[in-house]
Amino acid sequence: MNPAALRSLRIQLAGHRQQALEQSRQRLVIGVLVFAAIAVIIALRLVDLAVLKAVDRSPGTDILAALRPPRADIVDRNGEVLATTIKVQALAVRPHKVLGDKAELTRRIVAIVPDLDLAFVEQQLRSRAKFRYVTRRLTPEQVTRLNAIGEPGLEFQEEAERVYPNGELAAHVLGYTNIDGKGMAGIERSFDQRLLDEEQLSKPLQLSIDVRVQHALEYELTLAMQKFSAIGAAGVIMNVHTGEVLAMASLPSFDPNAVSRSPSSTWFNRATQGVYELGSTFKAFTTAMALERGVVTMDKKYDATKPLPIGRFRIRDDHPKNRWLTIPEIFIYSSNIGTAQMALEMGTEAQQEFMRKLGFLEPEKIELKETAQPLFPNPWGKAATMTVSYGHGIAVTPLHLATGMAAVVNGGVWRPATLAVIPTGTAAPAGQRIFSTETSRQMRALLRMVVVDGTGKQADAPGYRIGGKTGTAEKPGVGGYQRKSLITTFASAFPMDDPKYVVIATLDEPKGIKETYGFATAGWNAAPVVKSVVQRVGPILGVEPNIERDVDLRPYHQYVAEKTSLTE
Amino acid sequence: MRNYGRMVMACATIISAVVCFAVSLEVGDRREQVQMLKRQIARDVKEMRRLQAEWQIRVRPAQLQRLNDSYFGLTAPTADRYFASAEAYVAFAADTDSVPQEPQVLPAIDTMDEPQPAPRTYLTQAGNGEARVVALSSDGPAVAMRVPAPSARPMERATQPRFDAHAAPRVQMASWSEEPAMPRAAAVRSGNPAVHIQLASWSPEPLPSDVRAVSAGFVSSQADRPRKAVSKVAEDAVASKPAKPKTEAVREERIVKEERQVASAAPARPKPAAPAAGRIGGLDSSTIASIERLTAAEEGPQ
Repeated sequence: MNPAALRSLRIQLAGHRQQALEQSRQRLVIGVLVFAAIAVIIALRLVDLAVLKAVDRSPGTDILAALRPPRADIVDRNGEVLATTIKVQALAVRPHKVLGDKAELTRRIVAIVPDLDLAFVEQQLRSRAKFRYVTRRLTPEQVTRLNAIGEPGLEFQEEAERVYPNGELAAHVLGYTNIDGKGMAGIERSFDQRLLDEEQLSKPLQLSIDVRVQHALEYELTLAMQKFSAIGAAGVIMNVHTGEVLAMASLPSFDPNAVSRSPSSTWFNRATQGVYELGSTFKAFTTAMALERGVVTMDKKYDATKPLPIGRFRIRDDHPKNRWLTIPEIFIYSSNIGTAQMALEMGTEAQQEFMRKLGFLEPEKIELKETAQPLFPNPWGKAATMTVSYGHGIAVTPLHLATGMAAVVNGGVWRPATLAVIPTGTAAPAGQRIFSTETSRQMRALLRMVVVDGTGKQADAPGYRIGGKTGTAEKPGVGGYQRKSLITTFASAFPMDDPKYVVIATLDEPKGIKETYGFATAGWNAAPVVKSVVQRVGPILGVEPNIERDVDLRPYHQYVAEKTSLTE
Repeated sequence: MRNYGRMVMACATIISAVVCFAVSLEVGDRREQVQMLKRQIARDVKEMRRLQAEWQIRVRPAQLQRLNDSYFGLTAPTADRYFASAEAYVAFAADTDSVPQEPQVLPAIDTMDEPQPAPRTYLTQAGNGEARVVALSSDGPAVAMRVPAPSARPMERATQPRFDAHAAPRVQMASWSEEPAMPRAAAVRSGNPAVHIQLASWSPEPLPSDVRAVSAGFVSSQADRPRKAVSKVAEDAVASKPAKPKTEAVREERIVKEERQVASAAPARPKPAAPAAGRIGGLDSSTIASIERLTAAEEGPQ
C-alpha cells in the first residue's frame, strides 16, 4: 500500500469509527431518554392519580345516608318527636385480643361508665368467646375516654338505637321495637313497613296524638290511681268531628326504651285491648236510640216504683225513686228499671242494629293491631236486651265508648277512631249517620243535666260545660259479680253547647276513701279526673272556659220534678 | 429563524403544560375541600339528630311537670282568670286581694241555633304593661296574656317553691327511663301477698303471677291535695347492669360469624341507592335536593 492510500484508509477508518462512536453515543442517549421518559410518565401518572383524580369514596362523605335514618321518626300532631333513631356506640370486647391486665381493664371501664356491674364486665372480659358486648348506649365523652385507654381488645360498634324521648308517655300507642329494629307493638308494629320504606325514611310519621294532652291525661289518671288505690286506669281523648285520638292512656304504663324492665302486664293496652262491662254509660246510647226511633219522647214516663222481674232475676235501681220517671229523670238518676223498659219497647232487633252501627259488635278500627273483640250476648233475647240497655252483658273497650259517645254528641255521625293526623283544613272522613241532629241535641242537654244536677256533679269544671254519663260496673268474677271490684267510667264531652272533644276516663278497682265517704262509684273517682283533665287541656285545645255560656236546659226543667243533686 | 420557531414552540408547549398542571392541581385541591365539607355536613347532620333527641328528652312533659311541681307550682288557668272586660281586669290588677270577678249567675243563654255572639272578652294595655290587646271569641284560643301571679292566692300554689338539688334534671344520654315523681312504696300491699290481679274477666291477658311489681307502685297518699304529693322528687334511676337477653347473645354470635364470612368470602353488598329525601329537622327539601344533585353529578360521569 502506498502511504497516501494508507492515510486515506486510516482517515476513512477513523471517520467510520467516529461515526460508529457517534452513532452508539446517540443510541445510548436515546435509550436513556426513553427510560427517563417512561419514568417521567409514570411519575406524572402517579401524581395525576393521587392528587388530581382522588375521589374519597369513604362512607363518611355519604351525606344522604346520614340524612336518611335507618328507621323513620314518629312525631305528634305538633311535630314533637315521639320516636327517633340515633346512632350510639356500644362497647364490645374481644377477649382473646386483650393485652394487659383484665382486672385493671375492668376497673378502668367501670370508672368511666359507672352504671356497669363490675362482676358482669369481668365475666365478659374473661369469657372464652370471640366477641362479647359489654355495654350499649355510650355517650360520646365516654367513648373518647374508653378509647384513650388504648386497649386493642376493646371495640366500638356503632348501632342504631330507637329512642323514645318522652319515656313512658304514649307507650301503648307507640309500642316498641326489638333489638333488630322490628316493630313489636303499637304504631311501630302496624306501620313497620312504612317506617322502613326507603323512600319515606326522612319523612316522619305524624300521629294525631298531642303530647301535652297525653301527658295531662296520664298524669291525672296516675294521681287518681294513687288516690283511690286502683290497679289500673285507661283514658281516651278524641276529636268528635274527625275521630282523631288526641290521647290514649293505659296505666300502669311501661318505658318503651327498656321494655324488658317492666312487667308484661303493663304491656296490655287497657284502652283498646281490655273489654269491660261499662255499666250505666250505655244508658246514653239506649236513650239516644230510643229517641231516634221515636219510641220515646221527653215527657214519656216509665214505672220505676218496683224492681223489674226478668226470668229469675230482678232489675233494681241503685238509688230507687219509687215513682214514675220521665226520660230525663231516668237518665239523670240512672234508673236501670226505666232504661230496661225503654229498650224493651224499642225491641231487640233495633237495639242490635244500633249496636252494630255504633261499632260495638266488632273490634275497633284503629291503626293498632292490639284490639279486642267485644263480647255481647248470644243468644240475644229479651233478658239480654234489658241488661245490655244499662250496660251489663255487653263488654266493649274504652275506645268503643269514645267513638260511640262522639257519634251521640257530634250531630249523629259515627266515624272510626284514627291515630293518623288529619291536618286542619282537610275534610274529615265522611262517616255514617246514625242519629239525627235533633236527637244529638237532646242528648247533649241530657248529658249536661247529668253533670249539672246528677251523678256527674264532680266533673263540672266551671266554664267548660262538660256533659257526660257516669258508669259503675262490678267486675264479673268466678261465681258471679264481685261486689267490691268495680270498674268506674265517666264518658264525657265538652263544651256541651258545641262539643269538640270526648274525654273518657276509666278506673279499675278504685276504693272508697275518707274523702269520698267510702263510696267508690264513678261520680266520686272518675268524674273528678275528667274535671282536672279538662281544666288542663281546655286551653291547649282552644276551648276557653266561659261561665256565661251553657247549654240551654230550661226546656227540660219541666220534666224533672226534683232539683236535688245526687252525688253518687 | 428556524431555531427561533422551534424554541418558541418548545416554550409554548412547556408553558401550557405547566399551566394545565397547575389547573389540575387546583381542581384536585377544590375537590378535596368539597370532600371535607361533605364529611363535615354528614357529621353535623348526625349530631343534629342526636341533639334533637337529647332536647326532646330534656323537655319531655314528665320533666317539665316535675320542674313545675318543684319550682313554680303553676296550675291550669281556671274560668276566673278570663276577664269579661278591660275594667274588670284593671280593677283586679290594681287590687291583688280582690276576687277577679263575680261569677255572674245568668239563666242559661240562647239555644244553639242562634248565631254566636260577637267576641266578648277584651283586654287593653294595663298600666304596668302586662296585658296585651286581645280580642277573643268565646271559644277561641286561650288568652296569651301575662298576668302578674298574685301573691294573695296561696291556695293556687302547690308548695312554696324551694330549690331542691334533686329536682335538677340529671338526664344522661345513656339512660332515660326513670322513676316517676310519685312516691313508690317498696312493700307489697299488706295482708294479702296472693292478691288476685284480674284485669277483666274476659280479657285475653293471662293472670300474672307476680303481683309485687304491679301492686307495689301505688299507695294511696293521704295528702290533702294530690299536687302536693307530687313534689317529692325521686332520683333518676340510671341504667344498671344492662339486661342481656338471649337475643343479644344471638347477635354476638352473628357478628362473629359474619366477620368470618367476610374474611373468607365475597365483597360486601353495595349500599342501597339514595332515595328522594323529604324534610328532616333542620334541612329543608331544597337543601336536600341540591345535595342530591351534587351527588348525582359526581356519580354520573364516573
